[in-house]
Amino acid sequence: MRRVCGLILIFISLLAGVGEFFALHLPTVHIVFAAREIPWLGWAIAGTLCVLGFFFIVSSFMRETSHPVTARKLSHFRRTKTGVYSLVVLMGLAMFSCLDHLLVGNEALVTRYDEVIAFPAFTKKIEMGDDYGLESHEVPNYRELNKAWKNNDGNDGWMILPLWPYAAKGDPLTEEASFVGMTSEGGDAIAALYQGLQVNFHMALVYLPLVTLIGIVVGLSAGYFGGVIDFLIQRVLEVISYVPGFLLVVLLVTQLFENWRGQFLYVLLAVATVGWVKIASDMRMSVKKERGAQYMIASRSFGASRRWIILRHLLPNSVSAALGALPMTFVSLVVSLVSLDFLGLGLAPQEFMTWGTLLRESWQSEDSQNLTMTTLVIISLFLLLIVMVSEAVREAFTPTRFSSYR
Amino acid sequence: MSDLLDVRGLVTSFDTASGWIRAVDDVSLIVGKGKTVGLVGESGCGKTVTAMSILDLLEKPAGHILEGEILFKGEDLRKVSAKRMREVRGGEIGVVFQDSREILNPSHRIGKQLINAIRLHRKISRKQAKMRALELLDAVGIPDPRRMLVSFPYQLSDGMRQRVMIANALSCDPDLLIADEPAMSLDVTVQAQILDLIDSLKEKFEMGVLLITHDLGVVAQHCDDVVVMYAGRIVEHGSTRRVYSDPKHAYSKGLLFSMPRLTNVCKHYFQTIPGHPIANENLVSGCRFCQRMDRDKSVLLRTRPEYLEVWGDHWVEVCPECYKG
Ligand SMILES: Nc1ncnc2c1ncn2[C@@H]1O[C@H](COP(=O)(O)OP(=O)(O)OP(=O)(O)O)[C@@H](O)[C@H]1O
Ligand SMILES: [Mg+2]
Repeated sequence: MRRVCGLILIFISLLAGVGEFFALHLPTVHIVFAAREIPWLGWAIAGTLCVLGFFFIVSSFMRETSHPVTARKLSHFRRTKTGVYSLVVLMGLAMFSCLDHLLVGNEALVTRYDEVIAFPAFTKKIEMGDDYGLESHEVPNYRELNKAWKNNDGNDGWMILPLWPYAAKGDPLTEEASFVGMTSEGGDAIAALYQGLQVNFHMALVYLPLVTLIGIVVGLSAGYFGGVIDFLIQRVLEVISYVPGFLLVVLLVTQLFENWRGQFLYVLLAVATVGWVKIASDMRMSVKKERGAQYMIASRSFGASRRWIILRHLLPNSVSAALGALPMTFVSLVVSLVSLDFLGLGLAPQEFMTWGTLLRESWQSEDSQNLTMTTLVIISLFLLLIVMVSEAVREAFTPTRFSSYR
Repeated sequence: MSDLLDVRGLVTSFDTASGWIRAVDDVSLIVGKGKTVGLVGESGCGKTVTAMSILDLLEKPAGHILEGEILFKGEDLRKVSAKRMREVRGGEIGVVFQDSREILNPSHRIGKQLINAIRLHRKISRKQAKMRALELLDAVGIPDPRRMLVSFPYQLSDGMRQRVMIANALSCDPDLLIADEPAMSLDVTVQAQILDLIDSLKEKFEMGVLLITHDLGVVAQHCDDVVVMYAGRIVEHGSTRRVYSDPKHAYSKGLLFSMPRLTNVCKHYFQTIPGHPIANENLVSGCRFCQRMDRDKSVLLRTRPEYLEVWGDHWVEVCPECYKG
C-alpha cells in the first residue's frame, strides 16, 4: 500500500516535471505548476512529492506489522460495508476527475491532417484554424471539423475527440448543447458539473493538509505548553467557533480579501480560517489527556528530550483523534464552497465553473429546472458519500471501542 | 570522598485547591556508593514525591521544589542545565516507578522502547542495543526475551511490565537506582529474585540504591541504612541494624511492632498504630506524630522538634513525647 502510494507520487512528480519542461498540457498534473506568478514553487512542489514518494517506498521496506489495536480498528472499518463502498466510490470519483481533458474538453486529443499528427489537447501551443486548412485564424471548433472530415470519408484527416467533447467555458456551442443546458460563460453544463467535481478535489488537496497542519500545531502547543499559551489559544478557538462560521467566511471574502475576489487561494484561505478550529480543539483535548500519562514522565526519566517526547510519544498517540474529524472537514469545505459560489462570492466563474455557480445561474434563469435538480442531486450524493465514510471512520476509531489501555 | 547522593533540606510543595501543601518538608538523606538505603513510611507520607524531586520529574506547574540541595556526585541537580539533567536521568540515575501500568507507551513495541532508551545514552548501533536489551530482559527474569521484544505493553501482565521497567532503569548501568516499590506487584519468589538482582548489580557496579518500600522485611534484608518518614518529614534515620534493634522514635517503634514476626503471630491481632493519618492541609508545624496521637499539648504542636544525632549516625526527631532517650 505504502509502496503503491510512493510510486504514484513519484510518477506524478515526474509527469508534472516533464510536462512543464516540454510545455505540455497534461491532465491534472499541470496543477502542480498552477501558480504561474512563482515558477519555482511548482518545481519545489514536484520535488517534494518526489522525495515523499521515495520516503514512502523506503519506509515500506522497513515496516513492521502494525499495532494489533490499529489492525483491529482497520478491520472493523473494512467490515463497515457502507463506509468502504463510499470510500471506494469517492476514490473512483477522484481518479475520474483526474482524467481531466482526456475525458471532457473541446480540444481534440489527436489529429492527423496533411500527414502531420498533432496533439492539440496536450500542448500549450494552441492550434489555429489555418493549421487545418480553415480560413479563420481562430481556435477551431473540433466537433464541427470532425463532422466535416467525416463527411468527406476521412480523406482530409482524422481526429480523436474526448469522450465528452464540450468544455465548461468558452466553448462555441452550437445548437447541439447538452440536455441540461448551458452556462453563462458559454460552456456546456455537464462539462461544468465535471469541473465542479474537479474543483472540489483540488480544493481539498490543498485545504485538508493545510487545515490539518494548522490544527495539529495549534492544538499541540495549547495542550502541551498549557498556561498562558493555552489560555490565549482557547479564547481564539472559542471566539471563532461561536461566531457563525459561514458569516465569518463571507466577511473575510467581501471585506479583507476584497481585492482578490474570486481567486482560488483567497477563497481557500477564507474557508480555512474557520476550518482548523475543530481539528485544533480535538487535538488539544487528546494532547491534554495523553500528556498526563505515566509513560510521558517515564520517558522523561530515561533522559528523553522534550522534542523526542513530543515527536515520538505525544504526537503519534494523540493525532488519530484529530484525524477522525477530517472527513467532516471535507464536507464543510464542499458546503462552504457551494454556498459561497451560490452567493457569487466564491471562485470566479470565468476561471472555475463550480456547482454553486451552476446552481445560482440555473436558479435565476427560467428554463433550467433540469440543471438545478441535477446539480442539487449531485451535491447531495457527493456529501452523502463523504458523510458515510466519516461515519465508518468514527465508528471504527472511537477510542472506547478498541483501546490499548486496559 | 563525597557521597553519591546527598539531599539536604529538600522542601517540595504542591499547588492544590486547598492551598500550597508541603508534601516533602525539609528532608535530608544520604546514599553512599554501593549502599542501599531504605525509605519507609506509610502511604502518602511523601516517599514518591521525594524520589521524583530528586530527578525533577514533578508534574509542572503544580509541583515545586522550594528549597534544598540535591547533590549528586557533588553536583547540585537543581542547578544543572537541562541537557546535563537529561544525561543524568537514565544515564546515571535509573528510576523504577511505583505504578507500572501505564509506564510504557501503549503504541510501541517493548523492544523499540528499550532500544530507544538504551540509545539515548550510548552511541551504539541498533543491533548492539538489541543484544543489550535481550541481556537485560534475561537478567530480570523474563522467560522469552525475544518474544518480549515484539510484544506491546498491553499484552503483558503487571509483573512483566514491572520487570521490563526495571530492565529499562538498569539499561545504562546507572550509578544510582531509585526504586519506588520495585517489587510491589510481583509474587514473592520473583520479588526476591528482583531484589537479589539489584543487590548483585549494586555490588558489581558499586551502584547506590534508594529503595522505597512498605515492606520492613525487605528493608531488613537488603538495606544498609533505613530512613523513616512520617507526614513529609524524616523522623528517624540510621543503620538498619541499629534502628531495628533500638528504634528511638515512637512512630518507628509503632511501624516495627506492627510488622508480623514469628514471635508475635500467636497474638490475636497485630499491634497497629492508633489514629489515622492527618490530611495534608491540616498538618501542624510541630510534631506531627503527636498530632496524630491526639496529644493535646499546644507547645508540641506549635514548634518543630529538633532533628538530632542521638548516637553515632543515628538521627531522630527529638520530640519530648515521641522520643524517650
Ligand atoms: N500532583 C500532586 N498534587 C497534589 N498533591 C500531591 C501530588 N502528588 C502527591 N501529592 C501529595 O503528596 C503527598 C505525598 O505523596 P506520595 O505520592 O509521595 O506518597 P507515598 O509516600 O509515595 O505513598 P505511597 O506509599 O502510597 O506510594 C500525598 O499526601 C499527596 O496527596
Ligand atoms: Mg509512592
